[in-house]
Amino acid sequence: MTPQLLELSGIGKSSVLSQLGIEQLQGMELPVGENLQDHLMVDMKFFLTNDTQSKFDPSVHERLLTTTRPTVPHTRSKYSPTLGERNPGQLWYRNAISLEPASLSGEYHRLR
Amino acid sequence: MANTTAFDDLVNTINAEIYSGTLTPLQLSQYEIQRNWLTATSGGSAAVNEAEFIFANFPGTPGLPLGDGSVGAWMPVAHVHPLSRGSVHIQSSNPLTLPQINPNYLQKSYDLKALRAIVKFGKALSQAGSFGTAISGSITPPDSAFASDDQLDAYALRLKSMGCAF
Repeated sequence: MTPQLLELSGIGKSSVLSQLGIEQLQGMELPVGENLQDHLMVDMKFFLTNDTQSKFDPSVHERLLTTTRPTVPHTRSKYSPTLGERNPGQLWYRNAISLEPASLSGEYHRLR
Repeated sequence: MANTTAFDDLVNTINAEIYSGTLTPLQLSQYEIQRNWLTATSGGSAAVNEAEFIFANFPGTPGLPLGDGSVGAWMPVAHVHPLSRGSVHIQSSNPLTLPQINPNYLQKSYDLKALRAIVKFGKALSQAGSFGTAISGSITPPDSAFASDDQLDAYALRLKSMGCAF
């Protein structure tokens, strides 16, 4: 049962229910929807040295892309691989940079 | 995960919460379990990881390859047992209205301290051994964020406001 279903059914804290005009069922003053836990993730990305990048094989990525995309539904799997204009033959994803906050996007062009 | 001082600080911070007298019975039980996870030695049967380092360079992940066609490395890090507790509540009597979800990220100081230690460890990983020789610098968090603990905290708090968990 989701907190939404329970609260709409009159089960939960009166402080939540009363202000929305929902009548609390008798004896159902329960901490519904409380104690939510969610973990935090920090995105860490690193520049690779030119030497390491030279070993990058686009065909491996292309194969992984075609084998993982159909089975991994993900809100961020919408990138369409295209040939990079600056590096013909290398795959890249046009939308990748738009995922980043504007204030961080400048970092991509540092260091080179 | 961190040096001894930082680790002791984490344990002390959990203990301070446990003895604060302000927790619900459920929180108290959970925090005691989480403290045991944290302090169990690697040889103990109860040892549980507190952090995840996900080296997952597959296509479609953010930043790989970068916008200019160059290739980066992606290693998101996560603190998997935070103390912060949020809530999910309806905000309307209309069943079609989405509920209000408040994860309360970084509500407890423990979570910020743990996240800081984990990110610093991730940075240390990126500079270690063969892995380190393949990496030329940080993209995110930027190098400037590692200048001090305060800078790193500020970076994490900025992420919080943007909703960084995914």
